Amino acid sequence: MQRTQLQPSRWHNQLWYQANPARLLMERKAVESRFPQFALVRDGEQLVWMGKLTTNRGEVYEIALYYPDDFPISPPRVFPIVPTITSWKNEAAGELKHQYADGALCLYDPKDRTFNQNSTAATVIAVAAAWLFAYETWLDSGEWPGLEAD
Amino acid sequence: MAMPDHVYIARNDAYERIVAEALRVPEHETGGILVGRMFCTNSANVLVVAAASGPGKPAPAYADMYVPDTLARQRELEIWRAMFAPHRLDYVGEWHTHPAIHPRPSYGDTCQVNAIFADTAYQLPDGIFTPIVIVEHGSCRLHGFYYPRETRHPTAVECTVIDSAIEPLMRHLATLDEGK
Amino acid sequence: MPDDQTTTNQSPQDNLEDLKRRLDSAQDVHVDPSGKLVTQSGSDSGSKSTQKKTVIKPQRWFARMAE
Repeated sequence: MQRTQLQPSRWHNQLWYQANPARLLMERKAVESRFPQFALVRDGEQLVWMGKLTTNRGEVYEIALYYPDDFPISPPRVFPIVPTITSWKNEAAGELKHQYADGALCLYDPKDRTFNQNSTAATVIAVAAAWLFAYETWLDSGEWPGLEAD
Repeated sequence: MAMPDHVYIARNDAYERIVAEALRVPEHETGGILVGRMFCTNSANVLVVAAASGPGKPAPAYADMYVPDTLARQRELEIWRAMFAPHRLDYVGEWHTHPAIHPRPSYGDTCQVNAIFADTAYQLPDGIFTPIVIVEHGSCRLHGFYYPRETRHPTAVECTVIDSAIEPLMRHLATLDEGK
Repeated sequence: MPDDQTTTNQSPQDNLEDLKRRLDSAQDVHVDPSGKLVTQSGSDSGSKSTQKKTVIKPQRWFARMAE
């Protein structure tokens, strides 16, 4: 039986943006160039981009994009803040349409690798904009455009 | 292989040692290795943690980083393997403390896990168990996380502390273990 | 499903309303050219660090605590 030979290691509890300032800079540049209306705020120790998106139908939505603790291993999560959207597929059963139980938007199937570690918050905001378009289409027609994982 | 369905932690040689070390230096980050074995039965994958170490006495202490003494831990790993020789135990993971506001593995922790997976010195065909220990108001809480090798993503796991001797459990699981 | 979904018993609507209230008092921050975070306004409030996080709550299983 082969046996483990331990190697030098180090384990951090630094926040992702403390451990990786170059990535934070990259995030700032990406969001500021594509979505200059967004502002960076801090909710406790978490960083959040907040801003407004306007759909083709002229509706304005304010969203909050939260970076997870282990970014970019895990993708950011987007919450609809104004208005607070809850897209019920079956309200009695508590089933939401393309939203998680805490209200975060379901932007992609985690298995399809839409988000990878090089994807920035700017990409995720763009996907959220597409979600809002699809949401409005669903409200109008009852059909959610595009591929659906659920 | 998928996640462990259950994680059992021996109270005397593992859990109590983790708690004692975490409470010894609550203002610094600390940790240690975990020694055990994954058993794959036809109904469940069961990870047994039979023993835990500290960081090793020469290890420096930091508030935001745990840098263990490698040689000291290797010695301890050998000792535990010898003590539990019939059960073929090995390194199954690493525990370390975090501040209470960060009860999950950090980005830096995931980078360290990926480095371990890439290193053939580590015999971790399935994944690695990396519980996070929080010390708050003088008491400890252990949050179990397991990184499957396939996903490299920390996933919460149920942990149970076993008060009785761990060896009868391991003997029983060994009879059910398939292919190992 | 990602394991970082909240397991709160709150409705999604209530959770979003809570989030909105917290964000109303969130601190503006900037990133300086070296990638360092700079708080824009006010002092570093220690109370912020005790705020609950939004994206938390994987399953938590607590080993029995030693006395």
